[in-house]
Amino acid sequence: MFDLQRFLRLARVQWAERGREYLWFFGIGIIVHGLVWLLITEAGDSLSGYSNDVQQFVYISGYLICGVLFAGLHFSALNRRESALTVLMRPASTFEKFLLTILIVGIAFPVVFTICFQVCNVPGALLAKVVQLSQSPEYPRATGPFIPFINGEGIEGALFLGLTTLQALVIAGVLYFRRFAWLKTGVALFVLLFIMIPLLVMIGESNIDMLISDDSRWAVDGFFRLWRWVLWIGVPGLLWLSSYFLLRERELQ
Amino acid sequence: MKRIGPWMVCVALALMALGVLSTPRPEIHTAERELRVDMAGITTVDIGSLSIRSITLQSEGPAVLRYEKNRRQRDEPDVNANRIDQTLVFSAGSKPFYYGQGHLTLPVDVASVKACMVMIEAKAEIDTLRIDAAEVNWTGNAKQLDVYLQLKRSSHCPERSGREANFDFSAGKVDRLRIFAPEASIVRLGDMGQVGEVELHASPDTRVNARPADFARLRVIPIGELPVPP
Repeated sequence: MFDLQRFLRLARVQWAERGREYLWFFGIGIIVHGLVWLLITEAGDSLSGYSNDVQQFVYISGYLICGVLFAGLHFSALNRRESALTVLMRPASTFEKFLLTILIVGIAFPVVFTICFQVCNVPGALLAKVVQLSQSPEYPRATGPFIPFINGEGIEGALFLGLTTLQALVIAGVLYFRRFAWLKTGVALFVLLFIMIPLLVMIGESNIDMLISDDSRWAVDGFFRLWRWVLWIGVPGLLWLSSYFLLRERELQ
Repeated sequence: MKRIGPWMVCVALALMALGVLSTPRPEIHTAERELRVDMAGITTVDIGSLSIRSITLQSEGPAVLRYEKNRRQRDEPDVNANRIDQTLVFSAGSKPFYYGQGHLTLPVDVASVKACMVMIEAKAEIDTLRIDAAEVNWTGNAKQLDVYLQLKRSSHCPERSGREANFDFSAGKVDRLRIFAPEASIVRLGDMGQVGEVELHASPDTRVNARPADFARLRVIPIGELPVPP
């Protein structure tokens, strides 16, 4: 089921085949971030606008959008008949391919994205802070660079689990649908996120924020805390596991 | 061949739907606490992690409401000040204008203020609330309430200025009440039936006026052990 040497060979092949694509992906991401910075600061005229809150917004938006795109690209070769066979016939077990997918999409992506985000963010935020302090030192709005897990608002863990859930769902969709996999997965995601969940919230009069944040204003009992953990671990876990089975079933067909 | 993958996706989505449906309804008005604080000397209300819905100040002259934003506050407050007779009403509209932890500084010119009513809307039980005041009429629920006596001289209430403090907890509930009264000569405690533990940090010379039952469980801590107010 798992052979380390074979797994390392698979990883090397993956890097040889897709490494350049990954570099382009993150390179374009950095360029887009630079353009977003220029847009927010009005081409550098309004640097104070690049506050900590704005940085967090840009980070979270980019993280979710790029994360879903990256996950969708991982098995994009399966959409083409000629390359699908090569991907499926790689000399490695299904588990090894699945593990590599988790490592690249679920673990490496968040780390690399967070590092790449700081390429533009740190100089942009420091510049904004310096200009802001020189203009109005009494009311500093810009508070330096936002660094996740260090000076964030403590939602990074939930963000990670949320993205990994979406990524698992996208991978399951790409593996399940044969034709127009991207389009169908996109439609399924749209229906789920923008129709089904809001509808359920309306029907159940739920407060979905309670699933995400731990606000002290809410009286949350112990059972609900436990249930929330089951959901946060169970849903992405099941979706990742389903992508393993979908990959295996795809190989066998 | 049986296909397990799609079924597992369905199970995960069903679990997600169940999670959304099982979320408790937001309790917007679990308890509406009304805190009436006489303004004879009030300077600061440290509101902890609460949201304040409205503040009503009765003022004989100009009163200033200041607040200090904390880091987590996102929106600028939507505060409207309308003068109704001699009452200044600060209302927040549909959303609370203060959210999160921080300090709310009430009128600087305390001499012109007759009374202040702070309506605190909390979605959970208050953990700790600090009040700086000379007279407290507490009608809320709190795990811990710290009252720091600020016995400043007031031209409006000369009879209260100086060294007397009055407390009424008959309509509220507090698990632990700590009163810090370094300068008070008389502390009058009303009905403390719903107050759990009472600590009075005061001078040994301070006279305490309380019901015998309340007096018996009052723990007076000499002024030397008074912690420095934050």
